[in-house]
Amino acid sequence: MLESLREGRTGVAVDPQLADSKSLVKLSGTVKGYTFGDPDPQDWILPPSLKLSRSELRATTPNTLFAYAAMQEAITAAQLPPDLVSHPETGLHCASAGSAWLTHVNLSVILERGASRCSPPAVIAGMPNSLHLNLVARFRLKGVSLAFSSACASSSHALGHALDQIRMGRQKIIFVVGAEDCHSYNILPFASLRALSLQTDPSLAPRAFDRNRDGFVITGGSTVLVLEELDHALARNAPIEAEVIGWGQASDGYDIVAPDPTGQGLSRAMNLALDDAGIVPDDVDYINAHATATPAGDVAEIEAVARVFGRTGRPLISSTKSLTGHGLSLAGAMEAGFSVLSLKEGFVPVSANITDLDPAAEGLGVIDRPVDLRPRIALSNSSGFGGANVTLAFRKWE
Amino acid sequence: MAISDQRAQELKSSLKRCSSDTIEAAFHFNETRDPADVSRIVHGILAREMEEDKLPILEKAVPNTLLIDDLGLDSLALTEVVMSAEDVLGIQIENNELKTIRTLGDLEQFAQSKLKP
Repeated sequence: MLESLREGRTGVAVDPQLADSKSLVKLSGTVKGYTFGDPDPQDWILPPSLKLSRSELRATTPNTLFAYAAMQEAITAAQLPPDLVSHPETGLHCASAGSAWLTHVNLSVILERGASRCSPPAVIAGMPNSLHLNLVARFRLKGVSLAFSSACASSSHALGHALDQIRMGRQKIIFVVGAEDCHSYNILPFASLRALSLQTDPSLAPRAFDRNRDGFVITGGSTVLVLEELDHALARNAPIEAEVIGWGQASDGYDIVAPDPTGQGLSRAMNLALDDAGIVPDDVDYINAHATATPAGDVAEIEAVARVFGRTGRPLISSTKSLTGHGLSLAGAMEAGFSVLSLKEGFVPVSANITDLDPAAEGLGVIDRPVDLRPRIALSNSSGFGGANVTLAFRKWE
Repeated sequence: MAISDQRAQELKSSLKRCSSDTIEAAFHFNETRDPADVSRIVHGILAREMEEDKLPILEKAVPNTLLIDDLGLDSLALTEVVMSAEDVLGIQIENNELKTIRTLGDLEQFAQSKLKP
């Protein structure tokens, strides 16, 4: 994954589940290694490393399984022993839109055959917070546990509020989890909204910041970030990837779906994040943009960045969604991870698929080819329907 | 009386992943209403829902064997067991009756009592 990000290799492809669909949407950021055929979890084909008991499989959803796998990796990478995972001061902040697919299947059984004929765990699988229900039980978590729901800003809110919980001394460690199914039932409603690209060539979509961008491409999977109070992490010699130094949030107060074209909401979120982190615009080396490749969304973000940073060519800006697709409520956590990788590994991910930069972005530091810069401070933006904006600020750990 | 093709499909669907012995018992029960089939059916459904490492306990189970503490079923597994038993045996277990079912013997006796006309 790190190499793909560094070399700008796309994860977007023609999605087999969309190939025969009546919709013209064909691309997604496919999740490899899993096969979900019928709705019975016992029939799903999972990676060999993901071993689940019958009880653990019973109320799962695709997004929950992705999160199980990511949690295992995160626990190993953070060198967390079992007694620190299952601890009153270790919590969980989750974000997922739930499984529209399983909700549909179960409701169909209830309507056609009666409520008593529907599998009882259906209610768990169909809840928007099925992710946190499943993770708390599987990993025996004992601290705070809750789900965030602010559309495509959800997991950024989850990380921002996790920072607050830790600053307030209420938790020492919080797992921040974003996960999405990437099932056609999650994808196609956005086609109804005309928000998705109809391209079939992954080199043409998504193309954030390009003049001819034509909508986003959806992805799923899971990202888990382990946020830990600094002294606690130092005391146990934890491998520190980067520091979360601040965050800001602000709403557009404008429209249910469309972003405020002046970018005022997102610019306030960025300014609040800078203040919270105790830094100034000149300190920022890199912005991992929300930019999904919709005509309206990208230009609103361009305006927001110009308001805060001017048009000086700095900081560098890229949308990693052009390589991954848009993870919806997973996007914030995933891109926080990319921002951290950028700081730790000393590179700036490119904004892929740009052949004709939108003139509106003139003077901004949108980068479409690798540059020699080792960023020290990065921001990650997320915006959701309803005009929810979040900016997270990270600093290289030195 | 032989069961209809539709009923046969329903039974196979309700008993998906159960042993062929369980499905055979379910077919026999649906043809004859023979109460002697109930125990085999209940055991078969339990075996499907339990964790594999607990299956030896089911093989040696006695009427006093506890469904949760001994067989390791959790709340969701129990509701799955009840739904499948209702399907196959053609009975209805009420919410207030569920609370009284703690052992394997409770479950089998309860199902038997529901069969009576």
